[in-house]
Amino acid sequence: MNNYLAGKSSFIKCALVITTSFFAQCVLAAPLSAIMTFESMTMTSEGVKKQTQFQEKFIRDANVVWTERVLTKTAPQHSHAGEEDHEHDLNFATAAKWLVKDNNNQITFRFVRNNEKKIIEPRTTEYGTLGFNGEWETAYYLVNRDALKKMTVLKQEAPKGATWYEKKNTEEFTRVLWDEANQVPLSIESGRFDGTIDNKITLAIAAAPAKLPWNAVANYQTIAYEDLLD
Amino acid sequence: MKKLLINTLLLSSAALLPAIAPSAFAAGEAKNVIFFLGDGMGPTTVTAARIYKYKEEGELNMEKLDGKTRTARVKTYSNDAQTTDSAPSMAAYMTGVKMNNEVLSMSPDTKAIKPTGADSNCPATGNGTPVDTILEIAKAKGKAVGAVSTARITHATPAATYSHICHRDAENNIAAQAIVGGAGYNAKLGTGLDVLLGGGRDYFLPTTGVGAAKGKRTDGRDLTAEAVTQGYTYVNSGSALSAVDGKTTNKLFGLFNASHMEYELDRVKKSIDEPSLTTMTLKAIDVLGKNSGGFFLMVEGGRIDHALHGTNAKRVMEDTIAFDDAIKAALDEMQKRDPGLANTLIVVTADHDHTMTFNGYGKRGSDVLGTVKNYKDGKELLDVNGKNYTALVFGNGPNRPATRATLVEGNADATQVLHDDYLQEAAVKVGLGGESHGGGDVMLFATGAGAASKTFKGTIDNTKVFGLLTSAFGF
Repeated sequence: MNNYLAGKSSFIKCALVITTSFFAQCVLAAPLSAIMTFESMTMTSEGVKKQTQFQEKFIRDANVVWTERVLTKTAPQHSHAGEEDHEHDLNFATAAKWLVKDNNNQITFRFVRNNEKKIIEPRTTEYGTLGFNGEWETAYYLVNRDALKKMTVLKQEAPKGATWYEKKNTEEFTRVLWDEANQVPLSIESGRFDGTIDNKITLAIAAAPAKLPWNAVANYQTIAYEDLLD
Repeated sequence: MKKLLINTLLLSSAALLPAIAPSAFAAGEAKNVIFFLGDGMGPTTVTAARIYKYKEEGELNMEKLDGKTRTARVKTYSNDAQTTDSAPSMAAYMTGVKMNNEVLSMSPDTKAIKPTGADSNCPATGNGTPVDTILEIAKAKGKAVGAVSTARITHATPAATYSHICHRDAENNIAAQAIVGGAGYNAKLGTGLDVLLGGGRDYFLPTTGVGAAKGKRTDGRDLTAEAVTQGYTYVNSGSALSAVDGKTTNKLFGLFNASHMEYELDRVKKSIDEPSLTTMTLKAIDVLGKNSGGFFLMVEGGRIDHALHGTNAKRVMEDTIAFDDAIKAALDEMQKRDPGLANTLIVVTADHDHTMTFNGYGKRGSDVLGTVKNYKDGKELLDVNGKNYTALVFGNGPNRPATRATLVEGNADATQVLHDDYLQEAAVKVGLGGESHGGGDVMLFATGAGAASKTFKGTIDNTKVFGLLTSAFGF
C-alpha cells in the first residue's frame, strides 16, 4: 500500500446527496477507476542510473479499494515448471489487494488471485507485515488530505480543477497534483534536488469496468494466509 | 581391640539399613524431563535475542539454565533433505529415527503423501510403520505426559510427540490420534495425554458446527466435547486457563486459537485473551508434577519459526524471549520441587535453523534491530552505493528492492527498521512469508539430573538425542 504524508484524517469535501430518508449525505462520485504508473530513479555513487517502472489498476467505491498489478502482454509468463507449491503460493506481487471498510470502520485486507480463483485472508495482526498499515485515509486517497492542505500551494499551471502542492527543504521535495473533484492525486513526486533519487506516481483516470472486480469473487475459495506457510 | 569393637558396631548398624536405597532414582537418572523446542531457533536467532534483551555480555536463561549447562551442536538433516522441515527433525529427537521431510514419527521408508485438505491420504498399510516416541514410552513407564505449543497443537512439532502419520498436513487425523476413546486414537498413548495446550481448535471441531463451534473436521466430530466426556478439563482462553487449578486437575486440554496462537508481540500489545507460553508451561507442570512417577513435558516456542519465515526480526526477538521466559519459569518452579534439579533433566534446542544472519562490524551496545554503525566512530557503514544497512538480514526473503534506499532507524512506519512490521532485507528474492529453513547446525543446552545432562556434548546427529533422553530416564 502507498502511504504518503501520514497524519490525521480530515472531513470529506463532496457533493451533497439527499437520500430517501431526507438525510443529507456526503457521497463521492463513485466508483473511481484509474491506472497508476510507478516510476523510480536512483543515481548511485558509482555513477550508475537505475530506473524501475510498473503499473497498477486502482479502483475504489464507497467503502472498497482494489489495487492490482498490470501485467502487459510482453511480460514473461510466470513459470510453474519445477516450482514447489510453497514457493509459488507466496508470491503476492501480482495478486490484487482488496480493502473493505465496514459500518464500524473495521477494515478487512485480503489478497485475490484471479487466476486461481482464490482469496487469501491474513489475520489482522499480520496486515502490517503484508503491506497494509491499517490506515484507510492513505489507502483510499493515496495521500493524507490533512497533511496535504498544510503544504504550500504552487502557482503553477495545472489541469482544470487540480492544484499543485509542494513541501520542500534544502535537499528534498514532495509535490502533489491534487484533483479536488475526484479527491485523488494525479501525481505524487518526491526526490532529492541533487538528482540522486526521484520517485513518481502518476494517476490516469479511466472508465470504471462494467463489472467491479470485487463483485466477481463470490465463488472464489477463501484460504487463511498462514495455511500457505510451512 | 578398640578397632574391632567399632567394626562390629558398624557391621551391626549396617544390617539395620533397609534392603533398597531410600531414593527410588539413582543420581543421574531423571524422574522428570522437560524438552524445550524453539522452532527454527538457530544460532543467529539465539545470539540476536541475547543482545536484544540482555546485551552482548548478558545471557539468555536457556544459556545459563542452572549454571551447569552442557552444550552440544546438532545436525538436523532429514532422510531425504539437506535442509529439513519440522516434522522429521522433531521426530528424530522424539524417536531416534531419521525419516523423510513431511513425515511424522514413522519409519524411514515412509513416503509423504499429500492429504486432501486436512484429511489423510496415507494408506493403512504398505507405507512404512510407526516408530515409538519418547512421550509414548514415558507414558507406558508410568509417567504423566504433555505437549504445549504456541503453534497449532496438531502442527508438526507437537504432533511428532504423540502421533504417527505419513504427512504433517493431515491435521484432522493428527487431532483424532490425541483423543482417547475415539476413532483413530493412538492407543500407544494409553490412558491419554495428561496435558495438551496450544492452538488449532479448527482441527478439533466439525465443519457442521455453528459460529465458534465450527472447524475443519469433515467427520462431524467435536473432539473437544469427546475429550470432556473422557474426563478432560477443557479451556479455550487465557483467562479460562488461569482459572484452572492445575494442582487439582489431572487431565488438561486447552485450545486457545482456531489456528496458531498470536505472536507474543501482538498478544501483549492487543491484550489478546490467550495464555503466555510461561503460563501454559507452569500450568502443565502443576498438572504433571502430581504424578509420583514423574513426567515428560514438551514445550514449544512454535512461532519463532513463523516470524523467521516472515523475515520479521522484531517478532522473532519477542517470541524467542517469551520462549526463554518460559524456560526460566520452569527452571525456578522445578528448583522448588526438586532442589538442584537432581532428578529433573531440562533440554533446550531447536529443530532446524533459518537464514537470518548478522552483518558486521557494528559498535558494541548497538540496537541489534538497527543499522550497522562502525565500532570505531559510530557512523553507519555503507554498501557500494552509499546506502546504510541493517545488522540482521536474511539469505532469502521478499524484501529485495531493485534499488536499495537509505534506511531510517526509527519506528514511524514499516519502512523504518525498528518498526514492529519491518521486514529485513534478503539476498535472494522469494515470496512474502517464503523465507526458507536453513541447513546449519543448531545449539542444544542441557542441565539437571547430574550425569545425564553431561551426556549432551559435541556435534551430534539429531537422532542421537532420543537415546540420551531415554538413558536419562533410565529406560
